[in-house]
Amino acid sequence: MNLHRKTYTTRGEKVADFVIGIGIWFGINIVLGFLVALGAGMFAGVFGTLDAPGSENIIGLVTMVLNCLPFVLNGAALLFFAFTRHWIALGMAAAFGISILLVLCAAVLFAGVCFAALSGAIK
Amino acid sequence: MHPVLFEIFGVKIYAHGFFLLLGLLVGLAWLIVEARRRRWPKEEVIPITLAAFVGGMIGARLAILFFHGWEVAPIVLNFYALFDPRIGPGSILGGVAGAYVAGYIASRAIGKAGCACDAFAPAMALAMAVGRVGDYLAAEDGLGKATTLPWGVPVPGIDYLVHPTPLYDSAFNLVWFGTLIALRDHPRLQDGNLLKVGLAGYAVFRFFVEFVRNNTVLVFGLTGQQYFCLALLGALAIYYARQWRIARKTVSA
Repeated sequence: MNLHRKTYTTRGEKVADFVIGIGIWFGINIVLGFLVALGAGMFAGVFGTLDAPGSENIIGLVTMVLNCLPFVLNGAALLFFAFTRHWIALGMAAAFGISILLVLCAAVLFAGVCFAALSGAIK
Repeated sequence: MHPVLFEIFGVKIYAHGFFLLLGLLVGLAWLIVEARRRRWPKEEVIPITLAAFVGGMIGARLAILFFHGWEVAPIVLNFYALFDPRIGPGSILGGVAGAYVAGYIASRAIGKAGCACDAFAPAMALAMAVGRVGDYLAAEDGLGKATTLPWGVPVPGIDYLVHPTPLYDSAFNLVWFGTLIALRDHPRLQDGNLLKVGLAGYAVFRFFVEFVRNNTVLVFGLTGQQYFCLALLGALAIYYARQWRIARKTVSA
């Protein structure tokens, strides 16, 4: 695939793409979150009524794949824009980074769950 | 142990989150100081740092899958769980790898010539030195294996003393930070070499400290974290062997 890289000539173009990036990140992830929850709920609702053997495992697997999808889409979008319109990618990364930073600030008020404890590694 | 550091108007402030955030802020502050000293323009510092931060947080979470196995997959692979403050960020090793990859991609995306990533090396060591204090106070991962050494510490719910491994980590990183500061202007440790030396030093330390930590053993008595350290050291060895061969060819030509 031959990616065309945009050359920014004015500050206005950069600011516009940066704001678009922020909008894209929040927009995509809010819509995706809704669709993932809806898809997982619908699948669990339909498949759960079939009472097939191992249905819990299949529902769990499908839910996991659906929850994982935003990782792939966010990564692909970030990479695509990084090499085409990098100010959009910067806006997306800023939105992502600020969201995580806010979560880390909130984590000061919570006792975080340790993954070793979740996996039963602590004997 | 003091999982709750203090209270403000009845609101508990947890040591783990507090020192994690403090470590990141201290690391960022040092990065800014170092970037200014190296005359690294902000048009390059900001995108690379931002990408490294986001890549680091994703890498920290995804690495947990390798270190703790498939049973944590429903949480690790859930994108939206990244934004749950009740769940810890994950593994520092995965964080370092993610930050490195994302920083590299950002450098290429903005068309940066050469590598100015050396500014990250002391900042990362300092951030880890601070952040590990929170792991100790929160008794994360049960701190370490049982010990009869005089500096063994008690952990709530366990009737024996254990290795205070986060403090080992913190002390090492503080010394390593000083070492990297002393080495930062060495002519052979420029263009990304200081960062590579910084990562290699931590990988060696981490490989040995894993023997007294509580992480899951994968195979041959080694943990996932130890295999990660070996892979990192192997990759660096291959990189330097290739560089050495290229340099020799250039000299002989």
